[in-house]
Amino acid sequence: MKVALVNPPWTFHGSVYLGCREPHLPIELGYARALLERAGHEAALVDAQARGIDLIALRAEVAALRPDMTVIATAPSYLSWRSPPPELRVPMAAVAALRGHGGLLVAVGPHGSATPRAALRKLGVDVIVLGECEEILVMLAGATESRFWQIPSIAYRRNGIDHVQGGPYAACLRTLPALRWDGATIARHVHHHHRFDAVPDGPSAEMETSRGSPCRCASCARDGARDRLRKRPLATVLDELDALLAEGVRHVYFIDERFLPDRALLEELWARDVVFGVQLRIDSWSREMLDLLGRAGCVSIEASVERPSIEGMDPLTRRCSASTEELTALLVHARRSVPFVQANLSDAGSGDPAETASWRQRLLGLGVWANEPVPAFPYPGSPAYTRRWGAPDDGAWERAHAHYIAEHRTFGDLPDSRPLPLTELEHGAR
Amino acid sequence: MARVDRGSPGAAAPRPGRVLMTADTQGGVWTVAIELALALSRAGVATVLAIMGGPLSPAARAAAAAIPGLELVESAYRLEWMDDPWDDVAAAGDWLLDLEERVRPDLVHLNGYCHAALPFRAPRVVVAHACVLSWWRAVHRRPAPVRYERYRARVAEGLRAADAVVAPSAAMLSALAGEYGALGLGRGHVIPHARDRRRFAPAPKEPFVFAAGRLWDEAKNLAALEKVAPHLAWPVIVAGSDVAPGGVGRRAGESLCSLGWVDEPELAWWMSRAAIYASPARYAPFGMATLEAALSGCALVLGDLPSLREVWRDAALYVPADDARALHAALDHLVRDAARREALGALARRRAVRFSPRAMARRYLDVYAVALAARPPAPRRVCPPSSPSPCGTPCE
Repeated sequence: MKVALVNPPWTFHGSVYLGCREPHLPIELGYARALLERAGHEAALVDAQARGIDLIALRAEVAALRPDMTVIATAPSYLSWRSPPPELRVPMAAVAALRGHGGLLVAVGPHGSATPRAALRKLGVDVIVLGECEEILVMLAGATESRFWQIPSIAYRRNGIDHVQGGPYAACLRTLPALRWDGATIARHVHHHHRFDAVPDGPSAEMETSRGSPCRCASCARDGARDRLRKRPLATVLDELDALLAEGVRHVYFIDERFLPDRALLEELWARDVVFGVQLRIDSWSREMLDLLGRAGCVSIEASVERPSIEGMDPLTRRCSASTEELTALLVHARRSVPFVQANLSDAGSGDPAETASWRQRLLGLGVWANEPVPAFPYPGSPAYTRRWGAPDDGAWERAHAHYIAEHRTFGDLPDSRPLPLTELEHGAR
Repeated sequence: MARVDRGSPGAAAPRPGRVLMTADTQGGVWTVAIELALALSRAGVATVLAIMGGPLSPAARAAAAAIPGLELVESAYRLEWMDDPWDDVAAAGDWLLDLEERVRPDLVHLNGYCHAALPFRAPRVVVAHACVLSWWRAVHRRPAPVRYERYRARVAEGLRAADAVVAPSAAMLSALAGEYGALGLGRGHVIPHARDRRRFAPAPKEPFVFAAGRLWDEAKNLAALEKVAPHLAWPVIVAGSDVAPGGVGRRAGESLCSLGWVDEPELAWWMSRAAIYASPARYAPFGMATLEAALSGCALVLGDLPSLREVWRDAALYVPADDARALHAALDHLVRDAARREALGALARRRAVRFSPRAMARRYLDVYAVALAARPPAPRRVCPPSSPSPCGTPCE
């Protein structure tokens, strides 16, 4: 079977999307391509965002491939799956452009994972994959529609009935291969994600060493795979890293939800000519391991910190397992060896704003960057959504979005100060 | 002034603020020294580079001038492995002691052996790039003749006096122990040489076999390439000097296309286009040119030496140095099999990027820390020795 894997040309105007708007490597599509090729299929990755091609050019390129199946991402990459754009404007437009040219249309991403029926209806695709898509796409590529009932973690419409089979899928990271990106892709990737210490001196790349996080961060949309922490084998990570370095990469961003303290990995990074950025939970790291992280070449830490609580651990959500003082001490310690440390303050709707502002000022004075608390979007499937409205239904995204822009009239560091309503954003996209 | 190390993977350790490093203008020592000095400079360690063995080329001098904090001190003293070197070695020793008195380094890094026995007040680290005795044994398959006894004694003396001994491969470290006696527990360290991957990069490959090295050095075994070149479908192009330091040289055979000595940018240009790099060496403690070829994405065909297998593992084809038929078979196989050639080239580059100057400098800082911890700098000598005029032409 011939498969096209499409990262559409993302636009974010009017969106409340908080993530980085630069192109990043679509690593989920990269894994899918490798697994599909390993299974004997022909797979082509079309990264319209990175190449700056519009929908017309995208349609022409996909049509020329004559694929039997086309996969479209509903969020820019795994890096953004934790906090995706709430609207489906771009994937809806991509599906509309590719219908009739791409064979079986399959959507992958956070929307279908949280609200599969709504995503099926909005996008008008043939199949939605729930959760991590790589291995499911190989099953889909080898199956006829009459065999879809055997495939886990998909949603599809047959004979006017929506079928949703199982919950979000968690891929086996031990079997995912070391990714290979061609020289042109790497050369194009000049953006160094979350790097502020130096002017980029060469291309960058995103990688991952693990998925999953046992923490229940209020704003995280990936609540379905919360408790399973999965690591890629070190040999695979290093194989991929060395291939990137051979292509000229100077900087790597590890997109792990929670970059883990791993002495063996850090010592291997130390021995290589590369600098890197991470996102981590600072309370998982000892001072010694933070020192090693800095020596290994870490130039940027984004430490997600929810509003600190004087009492420390929240027994229900297990958020913030360290006290404010201990978190502060760890952040300041990290800053001794890492040039940029950010305490990423998010407002999950609890705690005292004055206390947070005071803490922010204290961190700034100690050399740790702390943004103004950004109101956390209650992503369907996240604890913040579930606490307020229960399990997400087909109107979950509209409900969360309407609540968000109504509640937060001042938007702090938000990129667009006047976000548009979700229905307006998605209107006319199809 | 020694400081606390922020560049090693382990716990914080002392590191030097200034290093006095010897280097020479022959072979790969200069290349390693300049890569290391640059990486040390980025780690905040200044280097005073004391050059022996002849004048630097303008390009080399310019490369040194571009390194922040590097002080270049040139001389033309003969090196310890050259013919009849001992008067020059003695004079160079006085010159180095004077230099130490003037620049007050925290550590002396010697890219040679004999001068480690000098009464430096700073700890000394010896780097074993190669040695005449192991070279002789590898090339001639027998121990070095008795005329090298003085060399053996002086090198052994230097090794004993060193606070740490570094070799670019475990095979070289083992060869040292075989020739000069055991180094002692914890004194030997392996630090592979390194090259900045931005200096050597692949370009679209062209159908020729490339080789590089001093044509006069029997260890390079370019005679084997001369034998097989007429029977290959692709031309064999060789870059390297054909004149030995004593003036005697060896010209490349007519079956090879000899470029003579080429500077680094031109070497990088040839390597970037070469599909295959051949080095059927009899002796190669590391193989700097092979590293440059690997960074350039060449498929590697190498002499079957423990050191090269240690460095390149499965990223090269290996042939016995004396087996011209095997060399021809390996080269012919790669000439005919484009997929294998490209895969091997990609594998070589992926392996080569691990040998980065940053990693090398970090490992050296670890060894420096060991040396500093083992023997803190001694007080300054009260009466510095007289400084006779060197027979070379020191610049400073």
